[in-house]
Amino acid sequence: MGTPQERWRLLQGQAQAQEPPGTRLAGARLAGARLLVGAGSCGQAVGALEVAAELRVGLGKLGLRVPVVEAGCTGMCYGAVQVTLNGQGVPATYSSITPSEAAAALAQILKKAPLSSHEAFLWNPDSQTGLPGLPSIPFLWGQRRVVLERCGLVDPGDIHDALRHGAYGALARALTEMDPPQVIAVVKESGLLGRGGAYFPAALKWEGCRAARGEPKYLVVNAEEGEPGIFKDRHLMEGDPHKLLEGMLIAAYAAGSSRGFLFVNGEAKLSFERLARALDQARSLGLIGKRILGSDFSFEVELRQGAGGFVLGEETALLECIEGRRALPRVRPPFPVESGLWGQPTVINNVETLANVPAVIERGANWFQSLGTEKSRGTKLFGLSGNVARPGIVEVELGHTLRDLIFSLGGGVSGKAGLKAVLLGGPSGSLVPPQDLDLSLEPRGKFPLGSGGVVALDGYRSILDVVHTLIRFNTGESCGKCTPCREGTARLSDMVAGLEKGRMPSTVFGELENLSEVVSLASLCGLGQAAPYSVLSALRYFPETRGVSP
Amino acid sequence: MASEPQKEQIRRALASFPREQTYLLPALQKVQEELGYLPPWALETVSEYTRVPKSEVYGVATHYPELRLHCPGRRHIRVCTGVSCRVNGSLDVLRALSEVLGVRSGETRQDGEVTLEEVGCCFVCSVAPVVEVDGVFKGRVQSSAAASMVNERGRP
Repeated sequence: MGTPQERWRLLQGQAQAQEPPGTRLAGARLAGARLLVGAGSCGQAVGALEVAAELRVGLGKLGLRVPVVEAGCTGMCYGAVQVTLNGQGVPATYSSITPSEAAAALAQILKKAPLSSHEAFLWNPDSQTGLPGLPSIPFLWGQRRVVLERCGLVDPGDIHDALRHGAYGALARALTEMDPPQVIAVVKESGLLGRGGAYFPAALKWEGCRAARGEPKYLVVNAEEGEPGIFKDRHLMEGDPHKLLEGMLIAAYAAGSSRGFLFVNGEAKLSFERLARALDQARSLGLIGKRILGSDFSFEVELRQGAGGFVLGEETALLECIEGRRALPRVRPPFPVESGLWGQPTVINNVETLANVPAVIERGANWFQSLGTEKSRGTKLFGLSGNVARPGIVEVELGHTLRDLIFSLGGGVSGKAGLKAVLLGGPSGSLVPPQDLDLSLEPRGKFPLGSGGVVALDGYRSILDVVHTLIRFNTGESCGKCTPCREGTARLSDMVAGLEKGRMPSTVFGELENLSEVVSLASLCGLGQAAPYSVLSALRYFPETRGVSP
Repeated sequence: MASEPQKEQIRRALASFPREQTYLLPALQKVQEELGYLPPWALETVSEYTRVPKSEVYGVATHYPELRLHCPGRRHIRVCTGVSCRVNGSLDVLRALSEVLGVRSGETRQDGEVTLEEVGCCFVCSVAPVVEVDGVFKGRVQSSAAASMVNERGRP
């Protein structure tokens, strides 16, 4: 029956044979053409499904049988709704298409011709047919897209499309050419760190799990992205679910895991739907289940949905939830790799971490090491939002600066008030003052990256209002298990509220700092420990919070 | 109290889950999907089915923010007031909606038609400000359009 790689090539051949049939009436010119509508949750919130419907009506009127696909977002949410012509050489993307304009824009889009007052470009460096190339789009040109490579350019609802673009090739390669310790060695050498916020070496978890006693071993995919201001895992799952599944399978193979849970945030309904479909399709092709691609490796995975609660992102709280209890973090040690789900060895990886794995296997550790900085290899996804001209998801090598993200890629601050601060890392993060915009964005730097939320705040914003919002959020989301977090965050919230109203004596700053330190040092889990960061950074770097005019 | 057909509906909905504690949350989610919320009798039914003590079922049901123990309004509107939406005017949207709908944030209108709530983040921050209307996200909402947004789907 052949090696896993031979079987994968067979699947790919079958997928190529199923390439969507071209147009009958338009003749050969549009053969293979498809229109991809950026219908991630961001696009759908501003009318992507309506645009898709109008495009279908318009194509019908023209007598063209060009398929219209509901794809994920390219990350350029600022340009939503985007329409991309694919399957006709280099893809061409058009931004800011409204339902009322969609049908009329078709003629230009199908010719890859410019469309007046709409951003339009080709996905390569050169310009053709009157459309500029990627260098004209700073938002994309400044990126290094590895995990995002297929987002917005493939059909997330069709595994054949993913296969045509090379999905599961790295899995086949790992199963054919590498034994699990080799996979661990390559990923360890690459320096891939977890992308969920803690930046722990991914391969060490796999190695620990593999070495631990007990069967079955579990793999849990933490897709419980619950940090306000970040939406990168959703983009990946909505735009290219097979990338995550492939990474998950390779990780399971390396860690010796036979059972998994894919745990998706309860609010991420679109991610859940697209993953469910992707799982069914992968199962039907023998990519998930018993003897994957004819190898000895078997893996079964169950899709689960959260029900809110920031604390679910904490990995041991997530395990409690899967077991059917309240999401309360566990005391460590023992660490999950030794005693996780039902006391069995368990690996818990973030979505973005796993989405990096196929590229590491395919292109090797050396290639991955060439990305990023000496200490932090690879790329990182960041979510740009707030008062930024071009909000969206970007992927850059580690070591970029906030100035790059906000001013080069993000197009600067929206409005006229200039940049006052950047919230980096959501409610567990810090407020970064403008003088620190040039710091290299790396794990364990001066400001923790969290999972990559970047919210720009312009000059009209009150730092105290922002801090109060964050600490109130942390208070509400505290699971209540440990006293420092449960009581401490509530007190911090009250004190910040008092400051905001100008009703606090100046002695309160000392108290705030002391209490923040207690909460940071004495809380049980990472979320409690990080809860006061925003308060501390605001007091430290923004004199206005102390009633001093800047 | 629940009618017999209602109880039967819930028992049927639960039948697809193995009777193990790991399916407690999926079971509660399923029941909420059927009834719109989790009344006390439904919690008892889940407890019997999953063989998890009632006290623990109640603990779990009250722990997760998306599970609700009270019947929401027929229409459900949630305004994101996380930082990204807040700095893009979501508080104005919330005020405008509260006025148009005649209900305060966090409350269900007396006639049970509509519930208006704030939410910490909808995770579509890139199209802020965001309002969720009956489970569907609407992005780049302007406070001036709040009224028409509600009207468009049939003002309660």
